[in-house]
Amino acid sequence: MEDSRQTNVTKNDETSPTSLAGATLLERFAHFSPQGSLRWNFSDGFHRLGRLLNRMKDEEETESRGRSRKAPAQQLTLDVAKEAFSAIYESLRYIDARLAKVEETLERHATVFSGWEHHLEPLSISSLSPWLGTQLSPLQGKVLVGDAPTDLLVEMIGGKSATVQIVDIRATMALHWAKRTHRVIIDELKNVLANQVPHSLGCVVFIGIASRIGAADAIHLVEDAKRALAPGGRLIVLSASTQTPLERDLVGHGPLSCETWETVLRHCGFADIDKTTKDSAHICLSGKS
Amino acid sequence: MIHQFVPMLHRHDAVGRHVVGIQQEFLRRGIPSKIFVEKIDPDTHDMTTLVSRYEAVRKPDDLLVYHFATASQLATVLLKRSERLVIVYHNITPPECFAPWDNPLALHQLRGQQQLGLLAHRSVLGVAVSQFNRDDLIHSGFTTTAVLPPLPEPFDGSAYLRTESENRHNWLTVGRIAPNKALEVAIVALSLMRESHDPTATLSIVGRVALDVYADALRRLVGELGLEGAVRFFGQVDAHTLNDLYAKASAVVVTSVHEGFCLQVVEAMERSVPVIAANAAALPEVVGDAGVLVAPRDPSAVVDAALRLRSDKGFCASLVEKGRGRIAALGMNSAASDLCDLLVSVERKETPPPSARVERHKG
Repeated sequence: MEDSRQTNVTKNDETSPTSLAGATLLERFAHFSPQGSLRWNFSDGFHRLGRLLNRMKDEEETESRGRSRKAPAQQLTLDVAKEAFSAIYESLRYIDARLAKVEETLERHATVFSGWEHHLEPLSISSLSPWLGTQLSPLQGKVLVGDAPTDLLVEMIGGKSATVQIVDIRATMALHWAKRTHRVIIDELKNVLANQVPHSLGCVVFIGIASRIGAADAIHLVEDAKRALAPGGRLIVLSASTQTPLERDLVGHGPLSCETWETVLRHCGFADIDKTTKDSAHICLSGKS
Repeated sequence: MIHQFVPMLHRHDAVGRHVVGIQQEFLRRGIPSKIFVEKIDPDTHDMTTLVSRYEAVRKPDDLLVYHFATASQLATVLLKRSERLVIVYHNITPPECFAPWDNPLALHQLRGQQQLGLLAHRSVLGVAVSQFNRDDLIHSGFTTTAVLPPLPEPFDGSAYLRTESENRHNWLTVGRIAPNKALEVAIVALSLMRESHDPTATLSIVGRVALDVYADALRRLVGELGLEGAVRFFGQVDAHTLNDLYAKASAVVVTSVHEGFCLQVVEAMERSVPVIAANAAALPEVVGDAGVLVAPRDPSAVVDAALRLRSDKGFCASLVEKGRGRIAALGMNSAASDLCDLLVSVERKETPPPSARVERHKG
């Protein structure tokens, strides 16, 4: 089989007019991707870092075995440093360009996202300030805010002299909602929670996402939050319970009610559940880990 | 007991067919087994149980078989369990294939690769559907691996009749529309073919869109090259329409830069359609000597291969003939039975059957 593989491979002269025409057309296609000509920076940087790490590992192993090395130590270190700097620089350039692209896309599709943006307005964080103040009063340690924090909320948390880690996935959320790939957002949030040191957080706040997920995801997210929260830490869930037809279509059903969230929190071991009655149209509750 | 785990069981995708085929083989042998899922697909709800209910039926000496094709919460759940675990690896498309088109999706794939690495240290065996996939498993840290092919899609050839036109180039590609398929290469090849050799050549693209931005870019390319009418996007089609397209095709063109196996290759061979495939990833292993392999991302090589198939009838006929026996040669007819033999041997801690090509690697 190996021999036959070798004999039935067709490869053309890369300098022939047909090959050149093909290559030119493919190059044109590459610029149709959202990253355009920057498309390889991510993977190049990524691969180079991978190769670099492998090389460092190999060198380490060689050294530990006491064998002779291919290059003098000083030269190798310099090469590694140069390569690392260059690879990281390329990756940063990519990220920079990507962020600019996201902003541009958001602007272009402003009308598409307006329905989503409005969700936060009726929630009116300011009207919930006294309740939130109570929930946040025993705040200690690091706070993780998932989804779309408002400035007011950030200010409130900041005022408690706590370390605030904002996981702002607004841009990703808006893009994915429009493209109907919303699972990525949920996975993103799960991943962020899963990467926290267990019992390291003083508070976790979910905003917005609560009305856009089903019970199974809700249980996973709350379980993950429970694992990340320190004993006595609080989970706060805030969301408008109204859904756009698109959101209903994606989730497959209406939003989970505040009562369902309460059941989910209790099921996952949260106690001292506190629901605000300020606005019955919204999901606003918290639980103590 | 041996139980299978999969994030979601879809009846008509390759992973779903694999899981169901194994389950049927277990049932045939009278071995009780369940399929546990993270999320229930309404289409298969009667065959699956939510993973949260596993605890109620678990036994300490259970063997858990996880079908891995993407990052999922299920992997995290299984990582925390103590039962023996076998991974059946169906491949992860590398993140760099998606990075230019959808960066969060690329990150998702990256997470998949990371999960595979974590599962490697927790598993007693990794089963790959191709040697190419086995290399992925070894790279991820698996110390014991096996190779068994996927299950073929059942095909009843009694009503199937080739109706291809003698002179026209009617190319067909089948598979989801995703960047790793490099469909732009097939489109550019068609443009070159129409310009220099056959102005009536066509390309039919069958498969669901996996990434809208990529599909939009392909349509834009078709428009810019003036190929409207010559390139047709069919989306997902039923078995009858698909067979009809195969029957009319002069060649199946697979331009993928990454494939863990590519069932469409054997599907085409079974239907007596000559295959032109990129010499990349698992494709040379699956195609063997029963198709024409071309350099990856080389549209002019695709054109040359298609012209050769048309001009050298003897060569074309010999490929078709070899292709008909390819499913058997790859061991796909006995794949379900072989995998069950392997899993039973692992459960009973017996010597694995030779058909599974079990190898041990340095950690």
